[in-house]
Amino acid sequence: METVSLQNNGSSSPAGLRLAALRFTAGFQVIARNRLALIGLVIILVGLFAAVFAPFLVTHDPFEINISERLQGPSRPHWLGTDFMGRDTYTRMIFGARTAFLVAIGAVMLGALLGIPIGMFAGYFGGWVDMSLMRVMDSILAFPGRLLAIALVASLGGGLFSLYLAIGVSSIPSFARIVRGAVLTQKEKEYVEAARMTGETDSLIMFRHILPNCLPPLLVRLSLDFANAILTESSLSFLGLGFPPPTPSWGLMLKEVSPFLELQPWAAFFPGLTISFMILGFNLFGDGLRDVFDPRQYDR
Amino acid sequence: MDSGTSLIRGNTIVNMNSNTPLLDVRNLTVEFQLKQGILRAVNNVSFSLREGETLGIVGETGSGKSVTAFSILSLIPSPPGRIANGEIIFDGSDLLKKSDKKMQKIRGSQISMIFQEPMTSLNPSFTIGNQISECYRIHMGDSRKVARERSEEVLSSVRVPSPKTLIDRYPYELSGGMRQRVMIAMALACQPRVLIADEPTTALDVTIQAQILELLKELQEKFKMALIFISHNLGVVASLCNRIGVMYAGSLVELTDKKNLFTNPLHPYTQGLMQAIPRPEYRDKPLTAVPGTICNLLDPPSGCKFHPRCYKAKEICKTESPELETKSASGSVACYFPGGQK
Repeated sequence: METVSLQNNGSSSPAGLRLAALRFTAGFQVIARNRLALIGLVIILVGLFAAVFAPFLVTHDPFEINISERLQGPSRPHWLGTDFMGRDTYTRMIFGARTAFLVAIGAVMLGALLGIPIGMFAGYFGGWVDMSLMRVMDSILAFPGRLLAIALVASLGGGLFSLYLAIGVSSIPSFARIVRGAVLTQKEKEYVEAARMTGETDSLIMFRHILPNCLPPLLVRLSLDFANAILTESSLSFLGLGFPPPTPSWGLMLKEVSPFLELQPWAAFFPGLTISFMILGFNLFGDGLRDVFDPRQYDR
Repeated sequence: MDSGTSLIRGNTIVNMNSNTPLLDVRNLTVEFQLKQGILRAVNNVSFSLREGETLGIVGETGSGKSVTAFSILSLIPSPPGRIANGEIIFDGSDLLKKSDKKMQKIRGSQISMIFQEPMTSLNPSFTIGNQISECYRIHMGDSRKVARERSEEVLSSVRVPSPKTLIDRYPYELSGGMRQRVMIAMALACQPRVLIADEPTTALDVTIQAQILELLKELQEKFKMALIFISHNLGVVASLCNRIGVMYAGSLVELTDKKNLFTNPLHPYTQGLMQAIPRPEYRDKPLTAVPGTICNLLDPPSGCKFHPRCYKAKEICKTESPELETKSASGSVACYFPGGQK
């Protein structure tokens, strides 16, 4: 043991690695014990898998039009039927996952990247910094999130970038508020004082010391915001404000087949179900995370 | 391997000229601007500390001990806090005049502090090794690897069992006594010349308390640091310090050596404290308490702040406030009628 440690002085001694592995399994067990969270996690992972490996999972070309096979129900060649132009619904749903995750990840990242520092500065420095930053956040919050997104997209035009901006901007305040709240409690803790005593700068203290301790509420928010972003993207596309028509997007698929609901209910059924399931997955996982991070849970 | 010798590095070998104080606090006054008014937490406090010396500061909760300590490191939250007056001369220059940047360099490397609550003073999200390494990486510019080696060394000097495994532990995996040792290791990491210990044993069991005190004493001798030990426990202070200052309501009322303090306390408040110590030889008699309660610092009494509770208060005590004056070779006191037992 002695000799091994003398040779290996990096941050990962064998004992350290073993400890890390132990902690990881312990953490996973806590999540796994929460059934609903586990279901949520599975749904998310399935969605993510579909998004990443879309081209390998599909049976058709998502843009292939076949008018003679339009508005079919589920069948062997078309597992989930076809839409009003005869495109394969299953294929488009899988590619739709790609669209949904692309928008959600980008938008949530934008929201988090702007919202977290804003909340951090507001909470850490307090006083007029807090006042002015949070009033700006309040004024964004004053608009209903989806309405703001619609207004932004309407003025910026459709496409990926404006969707990022529209959905991202409306999620900035929620991140800012969550982080600010967490920072307000964390900055009074003595470890912050101890860090200051060690001679660390404000920025190091904020982002290296305080931020990791704000993660629990932040991760919950992140998960719920993913659901929100997917839903907003679907709504916008449904309203015709999101992606332009040939793009495989769940909201757009719903919209395109909605006039034919009486002719072929299946065509709208599956995209609608997918959206619901995805949202459910993120919400269940978010709620599960909240339970896991609640220390009172450990007694059970 | 003797980790002690290797820890002493060039920058900490200092001249042991004992005539010039290493740390000289002069007329320190700290105020807090609150909604209800101005609270003067520290009032005109002066003391000095030579290389390798140990100074104890005792007083009730709220007497300004911790605020004094925090002022030395310029860690008073401002606003609402404000150092209204005074100088803190460390190694020839005034710490209060230094910029934030310069203070950051001094904190942790020249002057360090151990906190009261070992349970919350460590960042729960980082391993022990990570937190101790921080100090080396900031002040010495060490690489991860070197910092880790040094952290192991300093951990073994605070006598934790198997520092090599402890280094990868998170704070929640350690007991209170262990955490306090880790805190001490963190404070000692960069070989500070002054260590401020702010009630380091209050939150610990009595047995662990004794171990920690023993450890502090030993480390102080080994590293030749000056130590300011803050406590409300006279016994603890007596076991560690040669010189002891007594604070009351933000003022230093008596500053004397250990022997004098216990055999011949001069200030009526100190006398009261001594009588309030349970002693086995008087086990049948009730303890004498200092009458009254500590004054409201937002609205302190005029003159000497202790006069409403003082058994020998005279007219002058109500109007004039006494300065700390040297009364004997080893002690000074802030009282118009010092000495003499009740």
